[in-house]
Amino acid sequence: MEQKKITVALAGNPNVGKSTIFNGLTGLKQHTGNWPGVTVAPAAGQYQYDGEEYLLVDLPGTYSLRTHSREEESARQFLCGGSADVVVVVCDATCLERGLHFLKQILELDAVRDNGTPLVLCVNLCDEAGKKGVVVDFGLLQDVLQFPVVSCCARDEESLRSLRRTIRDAASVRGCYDCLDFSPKQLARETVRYTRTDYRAREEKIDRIVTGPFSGTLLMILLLMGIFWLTMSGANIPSEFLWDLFFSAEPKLADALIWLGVPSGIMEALVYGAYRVLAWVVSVMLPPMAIFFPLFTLLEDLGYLPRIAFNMDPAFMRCRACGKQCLTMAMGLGCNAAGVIGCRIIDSPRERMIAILTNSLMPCNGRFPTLISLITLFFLAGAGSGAIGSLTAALLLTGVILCGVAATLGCSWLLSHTLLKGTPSSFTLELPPYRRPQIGRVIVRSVFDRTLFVLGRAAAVAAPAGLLIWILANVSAGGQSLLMHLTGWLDPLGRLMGLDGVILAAFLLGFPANEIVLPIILMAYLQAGRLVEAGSSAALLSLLTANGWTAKTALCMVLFCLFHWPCSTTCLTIHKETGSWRWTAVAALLPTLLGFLTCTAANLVLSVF
Amino acid sequence: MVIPLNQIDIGQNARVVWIASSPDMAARLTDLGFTPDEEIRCVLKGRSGGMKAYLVRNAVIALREQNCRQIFVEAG
Repeated sequence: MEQKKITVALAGNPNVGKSTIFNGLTGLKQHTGNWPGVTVAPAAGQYQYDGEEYLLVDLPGTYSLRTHSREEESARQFLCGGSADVVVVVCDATCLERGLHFLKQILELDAVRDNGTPLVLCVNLCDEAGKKGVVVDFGLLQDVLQFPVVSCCARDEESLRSLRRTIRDAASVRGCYDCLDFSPKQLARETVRYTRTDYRAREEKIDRIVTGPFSGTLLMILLLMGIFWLTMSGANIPSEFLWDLFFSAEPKLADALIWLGVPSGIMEALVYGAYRVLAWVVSVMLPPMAIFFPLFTLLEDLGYLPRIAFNMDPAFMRCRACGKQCLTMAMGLGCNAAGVIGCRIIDSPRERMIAILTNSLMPCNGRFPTLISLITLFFLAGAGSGAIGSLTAALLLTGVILCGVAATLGCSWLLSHTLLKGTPSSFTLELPPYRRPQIGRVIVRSVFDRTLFVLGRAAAVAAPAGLLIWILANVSAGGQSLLMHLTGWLDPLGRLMGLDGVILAAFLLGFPANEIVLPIILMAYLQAGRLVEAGSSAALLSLLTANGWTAKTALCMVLFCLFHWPCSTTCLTIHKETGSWRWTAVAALLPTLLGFLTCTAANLVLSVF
Repeated sequence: MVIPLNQIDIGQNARVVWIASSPDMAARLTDLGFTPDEEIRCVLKGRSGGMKAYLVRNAVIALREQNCRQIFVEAG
């Protein structure tokens, strides 16, 4: 007979480290970050302790169980459903009073009271509290509450062990909360002592610079540029190395397949179709992502993202949108699908919809390689390849991103004056204390969780897409390959937009993953029926110019890369989040229309000169 | 003297008197600690018309100007 699992719920305010505890106990890799609302849906994981099986549920952080946002509803439902055998209430040692208010609300739930669900109070972030001179009297806390209280630093193995032990001991004891009554305010006052009165002074000084009208904006742009510069200049060498590695393996792979008796037609489709696109995607995408994601995670862990939202809110307010949209845009820079899911942190349904519909206007990581290649090939000819060249490239890429931000604001304004009319709603934004990121952990986590995840997805799409492209380019009808038919048919529209049929076809075929747009273009131009090795950037440039590319073509392509339909994964995610194909269609049409208009306008204006 | 919260300067303390926000927002503010008799302090003011941040129950919470006007406090 299967042993019954003990269900343990982790509940508490946002940003108190529930997910870090969850990861520590289960060994899973739930996304964490230093801003409220990282966890938007309950996550479950298992662990074993002392011969027992535990099912741990990480509930989204909520400020209360009363008001009606989606996360609060799901947290409340779970706690009221009575499926939790133990509830661990996690609170922040530096903000104990707020945690105690939340604890009191849990104690007021009928389900918890009647079932006598065992409770454990886990006072987290004790290391941080210690640094700030905040002293908590745990003995007194436990005497008043009459159930286990654990002091915890979620990153520390010893406190995780004591938490596991406490949960095991608590699971067998029915709680009785009938005589328990306390005032959170008074209890916090009696148990917490502040030994340093000035601990907030430094943080406030930093915050004034970070959110200053001038210094805040400057810092934001400099940080963005710095990240891009490091990403671009750092990714070159490993990219070339991977490139050489993959292509030196190619003939060997082909030989091996032939030796295995695979027919040559299928062998070519597999090696020159699937393998090449895969190799291209991995060598072009992996190095920039392996640099970009850790840097971005560093900012996230530091607590900088909510400050950006704070700075940018006036602009969003004028567009009648929510300042938290900034956070979802920042997530969109990594992956638009993740950004769309992240929109759940916005409470107002109208403003959440705006954030979902405009998310793909921020270029995701799959589009960065294309943007970077175009910028370096066409706009940096005179700048050289040294530090000045890479700085200019970073500056241009920052400009492109700012275009995306401007378009997001513009579209939000448009939506809130047409399809999604309404007034800006109220919202609160918590600015968490700055926390020193653990650099080693950040690198490991962002490389393994995010980079490999995104890459895995891209690779899973790239291989079959490569196969499809190979078939399109090699199966002919009426003396022309299918790919040529498609590009010929799209050519007039492409020309109007300052592009050509090949580029448009590449964007269409790149629907599953934007990373493969550039490889498809090269394949079509060379008509080789397979992706070619673009040995040097000079060869790449001459190939493109031979096919009629000018700086105008590159500019229009940058614009279209920025503004076109979201990739298939994002579209599916939008459907899942909005529950409507109609809104999904709006989300796809809006950026496409914008891209069409801006490209056509740029083409016409530049043709005049 | 009772004044709206947005008139409190950086570094100044205030005691919440009453909240005139819409029911949803009032409930959210209550959860965060903007309740009568609670001591709060203004810690950050962005550009004019932008958000303002307050230290309440030892956490920093940013609010829009329009929401600050709906919270009435007694300057301390």
